[in-house]
Order: sequence, then structure tokens, then C-alpha cells
Amino acid sequence: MTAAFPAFIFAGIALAALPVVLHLLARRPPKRAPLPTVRFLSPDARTLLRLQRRPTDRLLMTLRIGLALALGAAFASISWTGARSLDVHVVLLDAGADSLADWDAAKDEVRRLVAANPEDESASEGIVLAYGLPAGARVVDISELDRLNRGQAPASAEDGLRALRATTGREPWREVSVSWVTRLSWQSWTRGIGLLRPALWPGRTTVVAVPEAGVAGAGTGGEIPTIARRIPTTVAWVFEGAVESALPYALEALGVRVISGTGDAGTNPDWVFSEDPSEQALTALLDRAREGATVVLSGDLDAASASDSRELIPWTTESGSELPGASAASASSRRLVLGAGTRLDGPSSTLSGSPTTGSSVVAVYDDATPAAASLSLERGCVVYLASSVIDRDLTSDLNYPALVEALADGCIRAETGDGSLDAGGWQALARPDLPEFVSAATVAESGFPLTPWLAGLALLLLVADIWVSRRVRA
Amino acid sequence: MKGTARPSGADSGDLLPPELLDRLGSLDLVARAIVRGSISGLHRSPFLGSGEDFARHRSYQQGDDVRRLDWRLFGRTDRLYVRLFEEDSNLQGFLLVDTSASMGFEGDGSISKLRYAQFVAAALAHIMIRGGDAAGLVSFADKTQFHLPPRNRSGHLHDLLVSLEQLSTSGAGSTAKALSQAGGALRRRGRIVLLSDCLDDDDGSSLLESVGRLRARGDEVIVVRIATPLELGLPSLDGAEHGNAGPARYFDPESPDVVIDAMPSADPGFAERVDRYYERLRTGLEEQGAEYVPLLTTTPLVTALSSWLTARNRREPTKNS
Repeated sequence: MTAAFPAFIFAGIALAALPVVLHLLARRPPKRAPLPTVRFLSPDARTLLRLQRRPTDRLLMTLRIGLALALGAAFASISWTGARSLDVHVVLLDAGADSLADWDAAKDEVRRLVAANPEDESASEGIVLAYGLPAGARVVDISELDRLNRGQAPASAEDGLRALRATTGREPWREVSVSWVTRLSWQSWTRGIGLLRPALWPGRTTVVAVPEAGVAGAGTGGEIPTIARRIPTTVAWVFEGAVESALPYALEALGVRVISGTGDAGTNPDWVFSEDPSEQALTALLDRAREGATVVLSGDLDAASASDSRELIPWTTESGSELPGASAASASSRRLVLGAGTRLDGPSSTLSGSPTTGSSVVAVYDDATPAAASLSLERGCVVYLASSVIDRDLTSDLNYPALVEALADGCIRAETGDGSLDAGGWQALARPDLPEFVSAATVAESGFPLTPWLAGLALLLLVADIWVSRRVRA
Repeated sequence: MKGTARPSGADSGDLLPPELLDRLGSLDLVARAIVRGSISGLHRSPFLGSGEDFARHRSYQQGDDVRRLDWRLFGRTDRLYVRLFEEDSNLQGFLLVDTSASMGFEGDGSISKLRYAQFVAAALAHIMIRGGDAAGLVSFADKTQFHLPPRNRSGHLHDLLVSLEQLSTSGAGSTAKALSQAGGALRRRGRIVLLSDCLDDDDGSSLLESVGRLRARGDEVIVVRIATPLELGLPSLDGAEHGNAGPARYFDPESPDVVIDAMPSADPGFAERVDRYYERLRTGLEEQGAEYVPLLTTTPLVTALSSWLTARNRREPTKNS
């Protein structure tokens, strides 16, 4: 028996007290009854006391209490889920194609965890639940683990948690604890999973990190990576030519506080956008990058060509000795493509050139030629878009904020694109703050809904109440 | 009536519970039904006198004593006649019905005591008049009302039943006073059948005194006490102990202003006190040679009358002398 809104049950119980109070307060005088042999009765003081304390119309009161309880239960959306008697320890095995884990090591880890959970000692049974298999997710017998192969399609962390929830709701389990055998990559991380995690599985998962495939040597097995993801960007500067454009609005749409113009010298921005910077401005912007900011440059860099900074820009012209300038611009009908297949209609014109050696491609055109590149600079990052970041065709596209975010995250994506999930990500999935054991009844989505029957019962009680009330008044 | 043997002819009694008779409507029809069931098994009519002076012949009726058949007349006419004697045809009787407010009590869903009394009175009138006796009707509550004098002519039974049907309850009644007045109205020795719950204001002594005076005159007195199980503190027919006698403000229908908060079902002495009252009444009546017939409104009338009349028929030679 599960209730979607248990608070209504307590509300119903509280409401049930109301008829008792009302019937005690609004007692009717005891009934008069004729009895020819009344002279043989002995007046009983205790009876008199009982008559005074007893609520009248007790049938009505009972009906009203029942009505309150039935309404509370109906609003609580109670479902009958059958008997649950098995306490289990689920070993959640990531069998997705994109898992970085060494498959044999992962299976060894599963065997170890199941063996450590013998049924007769801990009163809970070890169950292996594999997800990312060709047939999706299923409970795997420990004896078939040797023959089990990894799936062909990628499986995200969200897929694993959803499989865990669905299987738990379906199986006759009572209490469930979870170990998660995986080596999650950033590819398996879905946006918003940090917030969704308790909704997907309301308990903690003991994440067991297995060694990465193909990475031999000490220190790689069973350790959670420690690359710290950059803290969320909160401040962005928009310089010079980009001020009078849609760029500040796109940044605000991403939840970023925007400072236009040169800004306050005391402010330390995370992102800096500059279109067609002057030589002097470019020098100052590169200093910002050294201090940890991501500087996104775009458009004509002719003014800065003579400076010593050109080696720090992740883009070069075909000659390899010049920065992209207005002379390299040409009209274009190509479309910009971001990492996850997001496309933008534009830009209307592009600048020629290609990423410098050591830089990473952030965005490409639909003919697979690079459109933007990033290069780490000490603590920060320099990103160049070989077009105008305020190009009218780009700014009028619905995916423009995504382009802005992709450019600003250029170095991070380059560093972690296929890498193992960092400590913060692991922590967000493990959620040690949640309870270790989860009652399976609370995650069961199926079951026989009792709400229509309870609503019918409430209606029946209401009709009976009206009928009895009329009889009493008559 | 508990413990009395059921006569062989009273098997239809269970088919005629008081509630069913109440729905039959016509009191004449009810009386016929009761009489047919109650005296069909008797060897002789229970109310015939035993005088020695021959008065006339009458056609034989079912229940008549076959010893009174006139076989010579049968030889001549090939029809059965019984011989009636002087006392048989001249016995006068009053049916004295209590119509005080307490007789309107129905107990736990049964018929009222007055309605039950009407049935009994109708049946007795039927038996008496068809047996050659003269029966009259008197009711009493606040005052005694003589409805019909004792007669035996044709059509009298119909008049008596109509008068019975019109009775209704009101006020308080004095049984002793009504008995005396009815006794005074009898021109000679006769029979008075009292149908009442016998709940007088006193402890029943005035009733006994009146009965004693009538008996001293030689009148036959039959006291048919009618009560409901609820007022006697007895279990009801549906098995619920003390019926619906739960906690309430109880009052006597004859004096509704006096109220007692009580719960008869929780009063262990209630049934005992009621029983002691009626037992004293029975003893007093029997000591004075009167007949005491306790009836419950839940008992089928045929069963009740059959049992009583059978017992009466057995002891008639000594009682009716």
C-alpha cells in the first residue's frame, strides 16, 4: 500500500476529529420514552451521567468520521502494490558503450560485492542490475556474468538511475540499498541530473569506481578523478563593439550578470567577450585570461596583428603568420554546428584560417571545417570565433545562447570532453546525504489504484449521511 | 403462557401473529379466525353453563360437548341438536376493556396492548354469544363507559365488535372502580372478563378488593392481564435482551410529567420488581377464586387462547360450579 500524498491521510484523520467535537458540543437532549411500568425503575445517577456525556446521533457521527477518512485516503492517492518481503542490495552495473570502465574489472567488482552480501548473514540478497545492455536494463544472474557483454549504445547516469527505480518498483523488494559499479564520463552526464538525482532515486548510491579501460598502472584503478570543474560563471564583461547587440541579452538568458563597457577595474569577470579588439585592449584581455578568465574574441584582429600576443590566439591565417583580419572575411552560406548537434543559421560571413597547433576545436561549420577554437592560457582560456559573435544571422537564431555558452566553456569542454567525471559529479550522483536504505514501496509507480473506490465510498457515505440526517430530523 | 402445553388444534397459531391479525382489518374476521383456531381442538365449549333445567335445543356446533346431543331428536329429524339448560342461556357477562393511556403502549414494534385486548375481547364475545351466553361491553379510563348491555340476540355480536373497534386510549383509569360499576350493572350472578394491564396507582389492593366483592356475590371474574415484554423487562422476540430499553428519559403514559432518567437494561431489579407485583396480584386473585390469565402482546392470539381455554376446560367442572 502506497500513498502519493501521505499528508492527506493525516489531514483526513485530523478532519475525522471534527464530527466527534461537533457531536459532543451540539448534543441533543436524551430521548423521552413511554414505559407503563416506569414506577418499578430505580433512578440511576450513573445513567444520568452517561446520558449527559454521550454524544447523540452516534450513527451520524460514525458516518461523518468515515466520510472524512475516506476523503483523506482518496486525496492521498493510495495504491495497492502487493506484498513486499525481500530486502536486497542492488549492484548497479554500467554496461553502456560509453563507460570508461575496464569491463572485466567491473565484473570482478560486481562478483566481489555480491559475495560480500550473503543472504543468510545480512538478511539481504545481492542482486545485479545491468543497464546499457542491448535489451536495455535487466536483472542479471551472477552465473551469467562471465558471458555478459557490454552494450553497443551509450548509457547515461540518468538511464542507470531510471532503470534502478523502474526495476525496484516492479520487483517484490522491500528495502533496497545500492552500489554502483561504473566509471562515468562527462558524456554520460545529462544536464540537470544534479537537481533530478533525488527524484530519480531517493537514496544514496555507493559509487564504486573501477579502473579505466586501457589505462594501466598504479593510481588509476578505483580512484575518483579530482579534476575540479570550473565554478558556475556569474559575471561577464562585454567589450567594445559587442555592447550594442543581442549578446548581453543572451548572457542574461544564461543567468549571467553582465557588465558592459570597460567595467570596474576591481571586478573579476569569469567571461569576457570582445569583438574586433584593439591592440591595447587585446593585451589587457590576455592579462585577464592569465588571471583565470575565459576571453572570447571574435571578428577582425588586424589591429593586434603586430603585437606579440598573436601566438596566444588559437587561430591563424593560411599563411600561418598573421591574425585573421577583415581582408580574410567572405560571405558564407555555411551553418555553425555545436558539439551536441545544435545548428545555427549563420553566420552570414566568415573569416578564413584554422586553429593553431595545441588548440581545441569548439565549434565547426556544417562542412566540418573548424569555426572556433580554444587555447588554455595559464589559469584561463582564450577562445576565438572566426566570425562575428554579433552576426545578425547568429543572434537571430534560437540557439544563440547555446553558442555563447559553448564559446565561454571552450577550454573546459576541451579538457573534460571525454574524460572521467570529476569529484563534484561523482558526489552529485552518490548523494551521501540521502538515506542508505530506500523503501521500495515509495518508488513503485504501478499498483492497483484505490482512489476511485475510496471516492465512491465517500460518496456513498455522504448519501447515507444525508438520508440518516433527514430521518433523524423527521 | 410459557410452559403450557399447546393444544393439538392450535397449529395455525404461528400463522396468525398479532401484527398479521392487526392488518386483517375486520374485527369480526379476526374473531372468527382466532375462535376457529383456538376452540377447534377442545372437546367442549369452555363457557357453557352446567344447569339442570332444560331451556331449549340449539343446532350442534363444533366444540360442543357430545354428551349434550339429543339422540332422540337426531333419530326423528336426522339432525344434530344439543340441549341447552336454563343457566346456559341466561348467563350474563361483561367484557371490561381498559382504555387508559398505558394501554396504548406498543413496546418494541409490536401491536399496542389495547389492540391485543380488542382481539381477545372479540374472540371471547364470539365464543360467548355463539355459546348462548349474553355478553356486554364496558370500557374504562378516566370514566367508565357502558357501550352495550349483555344480550344474546342476533346482530348483537356485530354491534359489540363495532363498539370494540371504536375504542381508543386516553387518560388514567381505575380498574377497581370500573369493576364495581360493571358488577353493579349485572342484574344477577354473572361473568366479568377484565382486559387490562392492571397497573393501578396503588399496589393492586383496590383491584383485589373489588374482585373480592364480586366473588362474594357469586360472580365469575376473569382477569386477562395484557403486557409487552419490554415493560416486564423481558427479552424481546428478536433476541435483544430488554428490547430497546436503552438509556432515556422514561415516563408513565398516564402521568407524562414525571420523568425518570434510567436504563432498564442496566437495572437488574426492574424485571424482578415487575414480576413481584404481578405475582402478588395473581396470588390475591386466585385466593379469591378469580381467574388470572397473563398474556403478552407478542404471543400469537390463537396460541394464547387455546392454551388458556384448554386449561380452563379441564378444570371447568369445579371452577364453573
